[in-house]
Amino acid sequence: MEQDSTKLSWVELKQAVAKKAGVSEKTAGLFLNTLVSETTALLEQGEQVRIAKVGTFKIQTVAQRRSVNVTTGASIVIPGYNKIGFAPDNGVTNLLNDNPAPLTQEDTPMQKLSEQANEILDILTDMGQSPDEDGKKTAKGRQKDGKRTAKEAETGQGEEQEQNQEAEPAAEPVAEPANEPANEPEPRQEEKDAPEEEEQPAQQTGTQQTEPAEEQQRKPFRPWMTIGITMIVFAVLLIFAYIFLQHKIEQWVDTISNRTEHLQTMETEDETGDWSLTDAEDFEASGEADELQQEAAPRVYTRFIKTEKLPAGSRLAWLAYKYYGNKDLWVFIYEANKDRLKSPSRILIGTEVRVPVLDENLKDTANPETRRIIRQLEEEYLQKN
Amino acid sequence: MTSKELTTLIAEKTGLTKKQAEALMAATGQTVAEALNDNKTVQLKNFGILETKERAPREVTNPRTGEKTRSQRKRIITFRPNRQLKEQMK
Repeated sequence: MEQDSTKLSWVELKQAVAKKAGVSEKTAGLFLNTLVSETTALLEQGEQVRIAKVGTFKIQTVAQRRSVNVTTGASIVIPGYNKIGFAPDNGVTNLLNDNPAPLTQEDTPMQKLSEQANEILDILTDMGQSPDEDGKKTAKGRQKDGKRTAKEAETGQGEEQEQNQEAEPAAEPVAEPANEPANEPEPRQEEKDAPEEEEQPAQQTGTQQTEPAEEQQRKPFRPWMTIGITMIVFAVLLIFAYIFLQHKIEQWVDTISNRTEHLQTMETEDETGDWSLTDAEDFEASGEADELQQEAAPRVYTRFIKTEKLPAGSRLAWLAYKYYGNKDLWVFIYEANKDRLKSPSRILIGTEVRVPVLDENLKDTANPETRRIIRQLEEEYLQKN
Repeated sequence: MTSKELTTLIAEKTGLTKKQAEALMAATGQTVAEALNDNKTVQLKNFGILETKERAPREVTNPRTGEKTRSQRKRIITFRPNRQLKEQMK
């Protein structure tokens, strides 16, 4: 007889039930027929009927209701009727949803379990741990499973008895070999249903043996991982902190040294009295028209080309380009207007800026000495802000 | 009517012993459950068909926390009475 993998026909059901209950097919047929007829009769009487492990059948009444004839628009009454409702037992629903049964025929749980066992073994070996204990266990478990299914395929009743012993799995391995030889002579009858039934015991034994392996693997596995991760995180943090602080410290040292230098120069200049260019008008008033000094850091500007009122968005570099033809010379303009400008980059709109007359030497940017002065001044002014 | 009562009733009607009837009942339940678990359609003569259907995962809200999660893929069992039975019940 051909077996359809997508359905369980009445005949197949009869055979399977007969085999499970240990009675003839005829008896099973009689039983099933009576079951159906009795259920139907009871349902007709309006009783609900429960069949253990399957579910409850019950008559449900659908009341009559009003509706509208779509074509004519006339109001009609749909008469009420009875229908058979079915509520599956929790046991079956859980069976269907808890252990994911094969949705496709290739993906049997047996294969999945062996794959999992293989993966666990791989992980163990990868971890560099001695896989001897855990590994052997799972391997043994798999071998056992493999052997068992092989045996079951050979002898159909072996697994039947196994199923009866499901309640006491500890007795299983002992009881099995004893049963085998007795059952071997009659393998053919049961062979048909073997693939269907071998799944449950196989699953159970499989899960029993892989779970302890997993637990054993996890215990030493966790602290190693956490320690490793924290180490890595610490290392990264240290590196970052080092880089960051290095930069900061350098900046600090620079600013401190600059400040001290600045203070020193201020003091010396105060002493010598050269730092008076801020009051350029005083010079004009007193008529002391000193020549521009190139080498000494502070230059005194007495003559000015023009006094410009700065419009919005103007920059010193732009002024320098306008009057000297070179943007780099803005430093001298700033130097001449230090008293009015707090910072070279922040100029208030409307500030009157005096553009000083520059010595030809200072204008000559090809001159290395001039370039040096410009660079020095630039550094000083830009760092200050 | 409970399963036990039904078993007793069948035993009386068929003349089987109560033990036999119980064993047969248990076997029937188990066979049907296993077949359904294998995504098989179970055909019950003069009665109907038991089959499984898949319910796709959907978005569910935890009423306590308001947290939205996806439910698991689920298989349900449906029963389709055959035409004769349907007519009979009307």
